[in-house]
Amino acid sequence: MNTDRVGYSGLFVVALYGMISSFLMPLGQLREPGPGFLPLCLSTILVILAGVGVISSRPSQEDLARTEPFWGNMKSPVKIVVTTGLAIWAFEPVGFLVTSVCFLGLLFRWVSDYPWWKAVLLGVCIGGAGWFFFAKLLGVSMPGGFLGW
Amino acid sequence: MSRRVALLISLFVVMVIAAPISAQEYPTKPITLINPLPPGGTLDLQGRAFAAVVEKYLGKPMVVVNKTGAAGAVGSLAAAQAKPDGYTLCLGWSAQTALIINEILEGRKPSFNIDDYVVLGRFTDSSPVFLVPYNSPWKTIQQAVDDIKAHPGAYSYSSGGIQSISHLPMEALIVENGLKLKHVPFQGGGPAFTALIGSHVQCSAQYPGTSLPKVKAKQLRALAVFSGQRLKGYEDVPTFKELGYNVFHSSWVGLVAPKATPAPIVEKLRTLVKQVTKDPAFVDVIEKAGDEVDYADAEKTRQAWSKEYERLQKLLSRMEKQK
Amino acid sequence: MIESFIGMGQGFLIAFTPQNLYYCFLGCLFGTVVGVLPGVGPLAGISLLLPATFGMPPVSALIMLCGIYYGAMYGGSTTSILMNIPGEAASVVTCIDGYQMARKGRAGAALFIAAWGSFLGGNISVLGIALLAPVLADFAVKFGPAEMFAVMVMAMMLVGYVGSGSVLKTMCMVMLGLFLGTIGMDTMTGYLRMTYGIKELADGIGFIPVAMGLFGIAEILSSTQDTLVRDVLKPKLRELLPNRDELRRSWGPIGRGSVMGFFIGLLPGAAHIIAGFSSYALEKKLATHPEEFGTGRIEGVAGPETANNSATGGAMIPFLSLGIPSGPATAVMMVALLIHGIKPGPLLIQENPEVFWGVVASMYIGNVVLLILNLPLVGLFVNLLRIPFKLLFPIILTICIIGVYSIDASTMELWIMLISGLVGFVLRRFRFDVAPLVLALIIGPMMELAFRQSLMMSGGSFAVFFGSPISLVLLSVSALLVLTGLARPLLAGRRPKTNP
Repeated sequence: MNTDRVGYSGLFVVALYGMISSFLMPLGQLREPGPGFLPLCLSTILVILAGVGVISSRPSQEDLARTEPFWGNMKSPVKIVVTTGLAIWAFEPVGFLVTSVCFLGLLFRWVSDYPWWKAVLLGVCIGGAGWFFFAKLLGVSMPGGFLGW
Repeated sequence: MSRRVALLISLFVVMVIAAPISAQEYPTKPITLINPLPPGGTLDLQGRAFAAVVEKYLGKPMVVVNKTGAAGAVGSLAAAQAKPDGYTLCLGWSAQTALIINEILEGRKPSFNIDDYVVLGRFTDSSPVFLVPYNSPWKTIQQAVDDIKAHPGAYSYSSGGIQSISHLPMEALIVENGLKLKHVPFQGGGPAFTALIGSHVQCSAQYPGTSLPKVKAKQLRALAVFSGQRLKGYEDVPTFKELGYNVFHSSWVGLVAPKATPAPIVEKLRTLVKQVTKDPAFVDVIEKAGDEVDYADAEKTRQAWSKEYERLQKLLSRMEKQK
Repeated sequence: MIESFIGMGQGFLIAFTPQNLYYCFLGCLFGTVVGVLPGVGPLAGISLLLPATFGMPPVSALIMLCGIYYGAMYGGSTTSILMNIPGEAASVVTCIDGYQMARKGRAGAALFIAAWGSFLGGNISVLGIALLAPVLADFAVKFGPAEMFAVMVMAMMLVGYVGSGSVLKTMCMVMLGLFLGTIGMDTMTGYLRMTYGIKELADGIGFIPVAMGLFGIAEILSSTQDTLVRDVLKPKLRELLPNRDELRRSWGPIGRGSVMGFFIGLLPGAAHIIAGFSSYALEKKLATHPEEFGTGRIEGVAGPETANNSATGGAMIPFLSLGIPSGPATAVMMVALLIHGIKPGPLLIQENPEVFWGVVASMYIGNVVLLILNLPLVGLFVNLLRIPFKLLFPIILTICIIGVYSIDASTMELWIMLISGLVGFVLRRFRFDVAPLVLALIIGPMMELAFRQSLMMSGGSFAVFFGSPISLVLLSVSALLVLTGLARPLLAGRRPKTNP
């Protein structure tokens, strides 16, 4: 597959969307540009560049030599993204301490493949240390969550 | 009497007694003070000075958190929606009012409103000064106004941002006198000052704390003040009113809490504001920064806030019409 | 000039008291910690310690706060080199070659040179302040919106040099970055562009969450694709230090970076960042093998790190001489001064010379302190790399979350970081270089604002850009850069088709 072509196509679509959004904004005149003026210029240029890219790109050496699927092993990245997403979502309601302990524990178990007990232990120790260092020592304001910690 | 009734009555009695007790125990942990504006500004200075002195009176520290965004809307909204247990307070200031009105004018329901808060008290109330570069040909306000009227659209003024406390006073002047003066917004007071000192713009409205050193250094000149009476430090500068212009603007800074905060805690906090604003440590910091402590109790602040709301509403609507 | 030397002497006397030395050390230490932590920048550090300074004498307070500022600049390069996470804005450029050096086992050398370069850059800038402050202060004021626009245009030209890979891809990333920079409230009209009702986006997509996501998180995501066991390098002491070749190649960039950084630091706004990548672009242009930049060239670390420290000194000039803060960190320092009853402004040097010179002298001392602090730490930091990756990356992720949250107490910024991480991951897969995007994201809004402010002030006339000598010179230089940049591939006959 032609990696570059796919990449440029993605940019093309994004830029097109940008052009449409910019048209909806007040454009002003050349002498007094409105908010939509610059976004429109930029997305237009990007559409052109991406278009050129789509047309002129060739499969690279890597593409021709590639045997495995393009995305490679996505298991770990997906797990990390999902776990981080959960952590961010829980951050304010549940509180920093509990969230970070669970977050670390989950990652250690799920992605790093530590046995359960190790994952939990590491999560508690590191999460606790982090909480102590940042929230208590440095005084950075972290959410306490419903437990108030 | 049956045991049940006795139980209920004793429960009731306990609750009645407990309520003021919980107020007495307040605060049991540190209090958060939200500052919706970025660090380093006037609001930040006053908020931090207040927080630093509070521990003396309450026994527990008060921590300032800058929750910035959208010219103060993000932090104000967060404060309005915070748990009303007295552990989250917020700074209130006049441009906040402008934020609310602007959302209304744009046809949106404002995400927070004055009624979302209970007012605790006011720290200061300051007015800006009309400044020009030192070498400006304008020596009096009359000259400035005449010149601007004679050359509509030829001059510009700098401000620290749209809806900021340096934008609205100039608009009051413009709207009142039908001037055609261009507004060049900058990101904060610093760049606005630089533009003025370098004569890239012809005038600006800035506050005494930050402007006095520059006037003393002969980089800028003050032609008039926007207050009702002459300002300390600017005793030889007339007010707009004295010169015959119906222009007034003031900017207050105070403390508010979410609406549903329990009454005993509110009372305690109101007394706290009164005490802290009298505390020499606090007064010292404020005065050194070029401002004056102007305490007003909750009732007066609330009334002034409503009056300001009306004033700004009129101003902003006129600005809309003139666009 | 003579007064400058007398002043410096006076300043050293003040700065050398045990009390002030202690505060300087404390500030530098705290600043280093704060700088090493990704996301938590000098601004957070200064704000955190501000209340603690209330009881202190003004000079001491300012010395400590400046120490934090400086320390953070030093510390910021550490995470950039070790983990590809910019510790703070100016260190983005250091990530590019610094991290690659770490991958090759040269982390110690990179850290060492970064520390040395920062030290030398800082010294030169202190010298510059002492000798040139009064002259340069006026210069800073001459920069109005038209001049700022010209500066930004030139900066954009330089951003193009930072990218590796094909010209077309770099230009696409720059355009994308500029476009993303328009999201948020338009400063001129207050109009909300593409925020979709999300209040937190009104100030634009925050630069730090995006940078941390595009660089750091994307790096973690791609690294975990293969086995989680990476070659754990066991560096020997000798390998911690730069070898002779690296040292020799670093002198030039350090020298150029200090001077360049100092003058760029005078400009209001994001001076450090501009200084950083301007130096990078300069070194790349001067190099005999520019295509090697991005694979771990020491020049790509020496130059930018020196420049951004030097810019710190330059940035203090408008603040100390005119009382005009050049950025949020100096704004908070101004508040600190006000709280202590010192009025920053042009009269500062006359009314409170001990403050002015005391601070300048302590900057020099701070430099020395930081060098002493950081050099031994190089060994410690490099050993952090020996921690198995599968244990390290969750810790890095947690620190990133803490770092970003500490800026604005905003969950939305955490989401932005995560999404940027995904985007960065995808872009890498498709062989697009992310650095130009991030830099364009910062420069773009400033450029647009300056453009529209200038047009507003001139009433729509474009002549304003050619009016002042400063902007004329800068725009001509930019045009030259474009022409020479285009000319080479055009002369070669075709657009470079390299897909590295």
